[in-house]
Amino acid sequence: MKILVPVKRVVDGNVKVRVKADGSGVDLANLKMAMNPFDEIAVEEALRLREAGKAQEIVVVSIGPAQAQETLRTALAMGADRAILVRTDDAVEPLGVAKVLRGVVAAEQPGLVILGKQAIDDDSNQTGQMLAALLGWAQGTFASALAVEGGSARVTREVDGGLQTLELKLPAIVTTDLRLNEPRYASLPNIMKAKKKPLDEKTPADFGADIAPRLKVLRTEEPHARKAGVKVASVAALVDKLSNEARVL
Amino acid sequence: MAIPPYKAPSRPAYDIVIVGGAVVGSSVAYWLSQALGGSMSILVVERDSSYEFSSTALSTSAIRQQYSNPINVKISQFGIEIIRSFAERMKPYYKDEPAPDLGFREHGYLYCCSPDGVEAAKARVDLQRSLGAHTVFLDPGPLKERFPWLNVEDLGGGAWGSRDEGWFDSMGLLNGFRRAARASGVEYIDNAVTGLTVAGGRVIAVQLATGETVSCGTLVNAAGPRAQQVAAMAGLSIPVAPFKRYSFVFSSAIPIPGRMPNVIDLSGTFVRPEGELFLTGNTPVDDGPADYDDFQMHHEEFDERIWPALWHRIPDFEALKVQQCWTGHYEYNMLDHNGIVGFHPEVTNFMFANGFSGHGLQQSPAVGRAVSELIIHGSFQTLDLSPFHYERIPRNEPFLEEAVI
Repeated sequence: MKILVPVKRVVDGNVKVRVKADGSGVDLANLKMAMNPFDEIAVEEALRLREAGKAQEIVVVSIGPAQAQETLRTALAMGADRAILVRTDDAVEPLGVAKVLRGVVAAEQPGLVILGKQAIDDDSNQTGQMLAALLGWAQGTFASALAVEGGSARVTREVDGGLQTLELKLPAIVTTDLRLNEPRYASLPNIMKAKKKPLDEKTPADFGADIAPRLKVLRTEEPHARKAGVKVASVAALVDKLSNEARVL
Repeated sequence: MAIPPYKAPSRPAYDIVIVGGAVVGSSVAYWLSQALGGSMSILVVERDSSYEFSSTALSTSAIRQQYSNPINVKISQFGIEIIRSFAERMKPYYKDEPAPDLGFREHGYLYCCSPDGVEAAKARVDLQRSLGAHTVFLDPGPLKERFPWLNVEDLGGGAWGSRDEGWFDSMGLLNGFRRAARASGVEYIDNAVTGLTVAGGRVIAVQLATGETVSCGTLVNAAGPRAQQVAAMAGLSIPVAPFKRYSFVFSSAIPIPGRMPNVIDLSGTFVRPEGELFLTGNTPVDDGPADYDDFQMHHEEFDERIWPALWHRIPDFEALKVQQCWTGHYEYNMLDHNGIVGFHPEVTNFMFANGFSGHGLQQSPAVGRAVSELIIHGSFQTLDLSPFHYERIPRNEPFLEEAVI
C-alpha cells in the first residue's frame, strides 16, 4: 500500500506572530517556518505503518511556494520516500488544497491519505473532510489511534466523555489528533541524505485544480492586550468587584 | 513588550547620573548607594525598563574563571562571591519574601583544546590555578573517561573548571541590585538621555527625552551596546558597537547523562544544558557591527554552522529540534574585546563602564564596585582595574584577552 501525506509549511509554533499594520494578514517576514505539527504526526504515523509492514511507500506532498521544499525535505529526512511540490505563490484555501490533492490522489493511487486535522496558522480544520467528500471516500477524523488490517482501517477518536472507534473501508482519509503519536526527530545525517531523495515539482494546473480563492479576508486583529490587575483591600471589596464590575458572580 | 511611558526626574540636579539601568548601571548604583548611604543624589536613566532588548535579559548568563588575563580571573572570582552570597546580601531588601536565589548551576566550563593549542592551554590553566581557580587540564584519555559523550579524536585535551563556573539567573542579579539601590535612595526613571552639555572639561547637564535638563556632578556611561551613542553626546569616541549573537534552545532525541559543563568547541560554538533542554550559540558568520535596533534572527546559523559543529563534538546531538531562539547584542569593544572602565582624561567627570564584549553580566559585580570606588575615592580600593583604563583606546594599545567566546 502507498500512503500519501500532505504537509504544510507554517509559522513555527514557538514564534509570536504580529499582524501587519494594514490588517491584511500576519507579517511572515523572516519568521521561522516549520512543518505544521499535526502534519508531523501524520508523517510519523505513516512511517510507523511502513515499519510495521502495512505500507510500502510514503509520498509527501506540499502545496505552496518554493520554500515549501524545506518542509518536504524535513518529511524526507524523517523517512518519507519521495516528495511532490505543487508550486504556487498564491494563498490557497482548504477547498483549493483539497482539489489539488484530489488530482494528486488520482495520479498516485494511494490506499490511505493521512492529514493533520488542521494547520496551526489558519486553524481551518477542513481539508481532510473536503478531500473525503470530493473523492467519495470514508473518513476518520481526529484519530488518536490507527490500526490497518487487511482492507480496512480502525480509527479511534477522542470524543466528549470517551472514545469512539470507527472501521473504514480502504482507501480512506484519516486526520490526526495531537495524541496519535510523538513524531521522531529528523537526524542530521538523515537531513543530508534527504537532499538526494526525489522531489518532483508540479503546478495546480497539472492536476486541473482551480485554486481561485472563494473567501475574502476583511480584517485581521491582534488579541486585546491584557489589562493590568488591581489589588483590593478586603474580601468584601473583591466580592463587590466580581459581582458589580466583572459580573461573574 | 512596550517601552513604559517616560517620566520626569524629581530634582533639577544630581550628584551622579547613570545612563543605563541594566546590570552594569544597576551594579554601579548598588555599590554607590551602599558606600554613600544616601548622602549623594543618584539618578539612573533607563530607556526601556521592560528590558526587552537589554543585553542583560538576552544574555546566556554564564560565568567562568577561564581567562588568560589575571585581572579577568579576579573579576570573576568576585562575581562568584557575589552570586553565592546574593540571597544573604539582598535579605534587608526583601523583608516579607524570600530574597532572590540566582539558581547558580555550578557545572563548570570545558574548553576544548586543539593538539596545537595544548601548551598555551596548559599555561592558562597554570595561571588560573596560581590565582586560586580550580581549572584542570585533561588529556584526551581522561577527558573521554569523564565525559564519555565527547568526541576527543581531534582534541589535544580540554581545560575543565570543576568549581566556580556555571550559569545563573541574569534578571535575578539585575533585579536585586536595582531593588537594593532604590531602597537605598537611588532614583530610577523611565526616560532616555538625548544630549549632554560639556563645559570646561566636564559634563554639566543631561538632556532627557521628555524635555527636562538635569545638571550632574558625575556622569556614568552604562549604556551597554549603545555606549558610543552616549559617548558621542559628550564629543567622545570609543570603539564599542552592538554585535549580534544568536542563541538557540534545543531539545535532543538522545539525552546527555551526568553534569554536563558548558562545552566550548574548537569552532567557537558553546553548548550547555538548560533544564532538560540545551542552550547553544557561536560567533556568527556575519559578525560585525550591527544597527542598534537590529535583532533580526538568522535561523540558518543553527542549521548550517552550529548543528554540524555540535554533532561533530557530541555525536549524541544527532537529532535535535530548536525550541526557542533569540538575538541579543554584545557591547563589543572592537579594539581588544575587554571592558573600558575609568574617567575620560579630558572630560574628567565622564565615567566609562563599557565594552565588556559578552562578559558584562559576569563582570558587573566587580565593575560596579570598581566604578563606585573611582567616583568616591578617586582610585581603586579593592581590585585594581587600571588595565581597563580609557587611555589605551586613543593610544591604540590593545589589552588582549585570548579566551573569548
